[in-house]
Amino acid sequence: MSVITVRNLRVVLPGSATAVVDGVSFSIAAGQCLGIVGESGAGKTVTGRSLIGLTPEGARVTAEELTVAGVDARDLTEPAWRRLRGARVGLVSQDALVSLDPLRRVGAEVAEPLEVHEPTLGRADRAGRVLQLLDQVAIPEPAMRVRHYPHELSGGLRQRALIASALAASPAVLIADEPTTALDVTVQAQIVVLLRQLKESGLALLLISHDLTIIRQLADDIAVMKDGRFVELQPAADLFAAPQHPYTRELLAAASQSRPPAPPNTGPVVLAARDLAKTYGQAAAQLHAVNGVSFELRAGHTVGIVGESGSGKSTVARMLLGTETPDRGDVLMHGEPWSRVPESTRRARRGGIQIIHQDSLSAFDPRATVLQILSEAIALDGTRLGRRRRRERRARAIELLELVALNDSLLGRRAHQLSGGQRQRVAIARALARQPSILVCDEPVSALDASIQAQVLKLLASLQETTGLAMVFISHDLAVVRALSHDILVMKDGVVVEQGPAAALFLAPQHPFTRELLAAHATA
Amino acid sequence: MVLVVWGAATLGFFALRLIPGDPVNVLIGLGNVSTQVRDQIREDWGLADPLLVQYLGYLGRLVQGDLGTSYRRQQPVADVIGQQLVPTVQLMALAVVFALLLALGSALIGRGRRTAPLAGLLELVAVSSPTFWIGLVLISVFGFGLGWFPVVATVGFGALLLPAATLAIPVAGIISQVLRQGLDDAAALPFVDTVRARGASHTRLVVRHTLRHAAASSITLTGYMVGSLLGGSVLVETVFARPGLGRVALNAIVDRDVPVVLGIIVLAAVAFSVINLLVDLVADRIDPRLETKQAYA
Repeated sequence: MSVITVRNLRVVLPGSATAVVDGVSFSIAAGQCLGIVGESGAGKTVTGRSLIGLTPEGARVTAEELTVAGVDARDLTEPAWRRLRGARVGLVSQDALVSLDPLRRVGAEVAEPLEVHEPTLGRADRAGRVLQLLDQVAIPEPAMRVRHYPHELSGGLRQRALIASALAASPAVLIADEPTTALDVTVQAQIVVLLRQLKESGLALLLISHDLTIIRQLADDIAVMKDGRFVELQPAADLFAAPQHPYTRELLAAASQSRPPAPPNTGPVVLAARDLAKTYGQAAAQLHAVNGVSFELRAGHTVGIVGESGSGKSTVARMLLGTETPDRGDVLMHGEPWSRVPESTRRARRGGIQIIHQDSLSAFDPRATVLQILSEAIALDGTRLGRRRRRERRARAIELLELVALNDSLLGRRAHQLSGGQRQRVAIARALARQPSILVCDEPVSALDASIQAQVLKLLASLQETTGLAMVFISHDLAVVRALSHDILVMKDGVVVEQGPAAALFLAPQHPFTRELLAAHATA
Repeated sequence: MVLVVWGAATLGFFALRLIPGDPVNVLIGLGNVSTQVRDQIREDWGLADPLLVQYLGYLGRLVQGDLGTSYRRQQPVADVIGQQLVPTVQLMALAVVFALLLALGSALIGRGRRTAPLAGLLELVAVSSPTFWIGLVLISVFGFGLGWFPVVATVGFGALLLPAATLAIPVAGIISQVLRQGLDDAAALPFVDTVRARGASHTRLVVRHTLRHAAASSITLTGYMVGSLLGGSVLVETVFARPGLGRVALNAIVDRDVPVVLGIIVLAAVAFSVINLLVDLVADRIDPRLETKQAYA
């Protein structure tokens, strides 16, 4: 018995001639999960939203059949949709920090569907139901948690609370749109377990993700979406065993990418960290952000730092860059003191170490064009062009764009007019403008789709090969760290719990946390 | 807060000394007196002392709550201000209520496709109209034209309505603009989808969710605007010929009655500090995230 049946669904957004969802058909039975995988812009989210009547305003939704929990959902009026939403279909979206109202307590948020759909329920009964729900999604100490605000919960608990609120009015269908994307790997695994339990208890689950590894763990059927169409819809096992469509094969390849790191050589040590430590806050509430981090980075090599958010990775990055002074320990660049000298002496050598951020959109001046962004860095680069003329700066900017496999048609664009992948390439080009010997990459691909991730990683690897650049590569994602790093540091709560050559670390992890990370990654 | 009041008193004290002219002239009024008498007056009022001594003396008295004595009226400044405080506070309080109601109404109604441009236009008119002009329009329409409200009466609630409305309208325009902007911003936040996915109606979404976000973003400005009402009351009290602090301030400045001017400056500083404190407390209540942010700062 299908809870959801969709036949030939088409969605056309206002002001667009082409359909974002173009002839999609599927059905989900109770206790089953359909996974939709694809890159951003493929139409996954819009497909999910059309099952709950939340397509963007003005969108035209048509279908030969659109049955949601026994209701023909074609041409429903807004009040009719409201009766359906929450009560028959629940929605869980990405990152509960922004998907829960940040100004309301968790209890109020979870209770809202009950207030809407069961207005006769008394105050005390409602409170009881909320506690029950929090308990159901395995939130410890629910009585305390209901009084908390979303920002006071960890990412995992927040996501659980969001799931609890979606389940409050007992819907038959749950639409989970990238439910784990903003979470750390180990927390991801826990949420997956929770979703699986819900599915087994009879919920029909529509799981949307760009991450094939998450889909694989939950979905009974998998649909691969590209440009508004399902290019492939198969039982999960068949899809992995025998992918039919070339795009599916591409996705599978991107998910399992792990190039063996190049053999180590004995280049000069360009960057050395010695026993770095940094604490924040005052005596009582002191937070050891980083405690005792040491490593050496050789030319042409990559040191990977992996750990969950809050483990101190980015603090290390800032100390390496010299934008944060360590409380203890030292950073040496090319064998000379770096972190303990005054900024005035450091400034002349700043070009030698450059950074790439996760969110390059906010790392660019939103008003500046690509040419201006690059020109600024080029003008600062005294070694080659100095502050010379405009035309030469432009030529150099084009040269840099070619280096990162972009062409000069982007010179006039501003940051928000670039795709995520293009933006990250421009960020790399800007970093390269100063001709650094060291590149610090702080989660450089975390905001990108899987196949774009692979392209950017490939670019970084090839740049390293051709220029002998040394890299510090920071990520919460073991897979991307693995793809580039020769040596790996595993950080937890500001401390390096394990450190060593990548191959050895993956072969025989010593620390339980490393094993946990690897396990979370392997089940993926 | 003490720092703000001290800063205001100090700046005010020295700035007022820069005004050319002899305070003794103010004390004497128009009469003609001998140099001897002048010196005597100077001695009595402590005006002969070096500036620093005068300043420290003033501060010392200020700490004890003594604002000095008016040159012109020959009575304690605290009394001069106290007598006129009540009408002005009444006026300001009612104006605040009006401003908030008007702003809330226009922000809530003015968000439809058709009403939004209209609300925008009204706000623009409200913000850019000079206070005295609004006052005159209100007087001629409601006072003379319709005869609903007394024009020159100074007692009773009816007499308060027009001046308060005059004071409130430009403020309401600004707050409404910010509030509408806040509502629009909040409506674009991701959690709105979650709320709608629960089956909540639009009204519920606004009342229970986005209005609070909008209030969080406009509360600081509202506090600032309330503080600025004190300045606005000068004009309104003049236009409506009402008694009040605004007129006291105006007359004191015209008369170069330095202690009174200083007293009003200090009072304004205190009022601003108290309002800001309240705003901070309210903002913490509205947006619990602020508390933790401060804890880290």
